[in-house]
Amino acid sequence: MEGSLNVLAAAIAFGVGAISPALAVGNVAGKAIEGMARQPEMAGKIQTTMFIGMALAEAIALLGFVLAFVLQAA
Amino acid sequence: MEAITPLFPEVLISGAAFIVLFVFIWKFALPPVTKMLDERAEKIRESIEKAEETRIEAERLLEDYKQQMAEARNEATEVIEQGRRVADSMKNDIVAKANEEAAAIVAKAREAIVSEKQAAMAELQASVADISVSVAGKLIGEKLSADDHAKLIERYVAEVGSFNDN
Amino acid sequence: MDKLGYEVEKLLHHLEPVGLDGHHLEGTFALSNYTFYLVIALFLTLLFFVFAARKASLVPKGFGNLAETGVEFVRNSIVSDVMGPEGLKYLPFMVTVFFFVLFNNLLGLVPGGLPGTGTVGTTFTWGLFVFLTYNFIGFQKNGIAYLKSFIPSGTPWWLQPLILLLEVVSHLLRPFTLGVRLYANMYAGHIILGVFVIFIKIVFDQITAGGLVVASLSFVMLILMYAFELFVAFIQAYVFTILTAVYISGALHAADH
Repeated sequence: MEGSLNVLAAAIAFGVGAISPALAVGNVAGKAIEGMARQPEMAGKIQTTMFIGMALAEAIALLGFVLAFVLQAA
Repeated sequence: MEAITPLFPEVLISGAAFIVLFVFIWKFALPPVTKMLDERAEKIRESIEKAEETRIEAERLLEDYKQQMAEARNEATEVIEQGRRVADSMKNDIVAKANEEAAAIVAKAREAIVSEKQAAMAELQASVADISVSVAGKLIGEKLSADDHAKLIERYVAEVGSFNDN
Repeated sequence: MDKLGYEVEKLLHHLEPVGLDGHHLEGTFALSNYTFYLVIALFLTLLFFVFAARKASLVPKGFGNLAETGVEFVRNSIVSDVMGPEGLKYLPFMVTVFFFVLFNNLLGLVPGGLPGTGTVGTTFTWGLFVFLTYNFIGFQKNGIAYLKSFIPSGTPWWLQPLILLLEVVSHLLRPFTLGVRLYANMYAGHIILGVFVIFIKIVFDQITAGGLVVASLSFVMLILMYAFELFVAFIQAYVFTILTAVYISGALHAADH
């Protein structure tokens, strides 16, 4: 029974931890598209920056992912 | 935790593989590729420049040809114009000369007629005088003195002249 | 349901890094199921570049063109865009990172294959390499000023320890997040593909009407997800490389601000 609690904790840790990065990544992509639509000649630069921004936002979700592993094994 | 703990043999092998690949790419693979890429970029740039130059040259030539063409056309029309003018003046000259000549011929003819007429008139006078003298002499039967003779002729001529006037 | 649980368990077990004999990985230089494919990817990448270097011709054609396009992409879209002209010095490192990650990712999509990047042993190692590289470049370029860049100038003195701590932690997290991102994408992608395969497999063991619907949907999803994973393989190689470029660029210009 203790094991399944760990699994639950892991699922919650990742699930909740993924909410804000999901919003952030969506926001980054949306704003990037806005920017590209406004200035198509800057699309390349915006895309590069978009990926960087996404990666940074994603890092939070990755911490949740790792935390899930840690909790599952604890 | 176990799932995200790197296994040491994997670390070694992946690390070694990365270093091997890095050294290979750094020392052997990349230099010819980047060199070739740079050369290609340079070549493309040169070709574009050359094409641009050729285009400008061609445009300049075309402009030249157009100008020459226009000049030639102008010259041709000028030549034609000049020819026409020369022909016109020549025609006028010829006509004028012909007119002049005709006028001269007419004048000469008139002169000739006049002189012929005078000559004829003079001859007529002379012969009329002679005839009349001889006729008078015969009629009268007497010799007139030279003086009388001349007077008579004069009177007679005056008479004839008055006839003539009529 | 038991069958599903059993199959999923089997899949997860299959994706665990183990020795080639299927038992626990023993020995210092032993190949695991992942590093086996990693070594194959290494040879493929080497071969790829041998051909690329030998076939390098002024007029782009055939196979050489593929490698050149890749190198050009890394050079223009990643190195030049992020690091500027001075970053060209680090092109070999960036090309290595991009192509090795990409080839490993792609090898995982060959049926029966595993991505060399689907294990933390690989991704953390490479993350660490990136970490060491950019810090080395930072010190090499800026000397001791590189350390000062951890505390932005103009920070009030009472905030300085906190900022320093945050900066150090964020730097230490970098190799970690680099590794986890790549690993998680490859690993999770394989689990998703595997789960759809399991759905199809269960139906073939015991055919029911509802099962057939699930199986055909799963088949469609499998194809779609396969295409998506192909996309992910490229995107993750790109992201890994571009983050490396961002970190190196930050280290290069550390003393500027």
